[in-house]
Amino acid sequence: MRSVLSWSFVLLLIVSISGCDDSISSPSGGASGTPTQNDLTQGQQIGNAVSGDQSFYNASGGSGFGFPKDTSQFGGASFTSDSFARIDTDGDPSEQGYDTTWNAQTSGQFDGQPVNSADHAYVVMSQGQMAASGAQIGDWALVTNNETGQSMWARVEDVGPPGGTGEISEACATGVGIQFQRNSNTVGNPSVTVQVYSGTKSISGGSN
Amino acid sequence: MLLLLPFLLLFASSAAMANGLDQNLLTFVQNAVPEGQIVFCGEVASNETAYELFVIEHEASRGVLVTAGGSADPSGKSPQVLFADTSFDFALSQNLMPPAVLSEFYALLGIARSPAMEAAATAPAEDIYPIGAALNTVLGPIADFTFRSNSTLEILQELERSDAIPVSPSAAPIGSILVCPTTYPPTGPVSLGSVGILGSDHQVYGPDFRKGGGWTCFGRLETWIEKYSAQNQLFGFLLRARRERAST
Repeated sequence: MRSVLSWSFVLLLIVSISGCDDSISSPSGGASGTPTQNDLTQGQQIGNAVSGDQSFYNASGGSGFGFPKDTSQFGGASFTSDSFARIDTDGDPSEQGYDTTWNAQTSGQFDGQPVNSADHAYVVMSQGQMAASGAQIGDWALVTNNETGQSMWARVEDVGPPGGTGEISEACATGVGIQFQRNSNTVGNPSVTVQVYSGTKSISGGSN
Repeated sequence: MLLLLPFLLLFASSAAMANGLDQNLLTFVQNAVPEGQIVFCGEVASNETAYELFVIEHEASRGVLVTAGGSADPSGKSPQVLFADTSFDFALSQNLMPPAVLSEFYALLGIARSPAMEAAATAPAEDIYPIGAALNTVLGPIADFTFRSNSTLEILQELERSDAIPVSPSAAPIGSILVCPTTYPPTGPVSLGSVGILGSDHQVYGPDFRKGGGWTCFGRLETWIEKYSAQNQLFGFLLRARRERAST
């Protein structure tokens, strides 16, 4: 057994569109029913993710890390929290003196430097959460604004106090549409869902 | 694969074929594929049937076209379209051609896959036009939904068999998956399908093979429907919410 031809050539280039009947169909199989609010909210998340003007795929909006190029190795989230959002300004030199819990250092590093909260979308986990979920510094996380459905990829880049949840960087907050003050307090009480995918830190990020 | 060997006779086509396609086949393919660029990749014969492989590229889409009964066909039959789509997955599942022929086609395309392999758990990133793999990068993390195939026809079947909610494409909610399956009548015209997602800005987005599978905008929903409904049936699905949150 052997293959026959390995050559190729451009045969033709024809552009013509033939008109036919309109045919929009409902599938014959599959489930039926009316979407619930949760279905629509999830759809909004998906729609936000693919839309070019949304932060999910737009690293230039200040996310820094972009989005994971290959999520085929992602299983289910190893850690999920749903709580009020809190802003971690660590690594952002401009926040010194404004945020009482500010720290120049972050647990993770970017190019040998602390991860600047203003430039990179990151999330904070406690040591216990990381141990229980197997997450490590650098793993990918999906952050979703529960009110608007806006989503953004981030990385785990800082370690916080035990039991803390919903703590995200300034860039991440901006990316999912959460406003905050210079002292790091959020405007209103926005809530976020943080889903962390352990074992994904080696997957590189990219932008569209 | 070894079991099939006794029944297969794959042979090299004539030297004349290396210099150009048979005129009848050339004309047939030109008529069968009304739009896009067509590249002839090779020919494989098995059991007295010759299978010709073409790659079709049109805008953001890429696919394969397989004809049978070309110039090297010993039976002397007229050529006809045997298969076309964005991946061989559907041809494989439907046994449209011998696995050994598919193996040869994968080799001609430089794709490291074998029909003898178990069906992939997730759509492979290496394929002719890895639509399913691209969709998985968005749908997996958010909806915990994973396509196993890169074929528009298989993707449609996967959605129909899932608990996704069928929706009319023209009234699709944001985040809906829009499917235009490939059509390939035996004598043409072949129309390569498309799969996209409705963005929050009411534009349809999908992978662009020219960008290495990177996402691109296919235009507004109405434009997408107008473009594809002229040639194919269109389908829409909204995935059910899968978010299971464990508050800590």
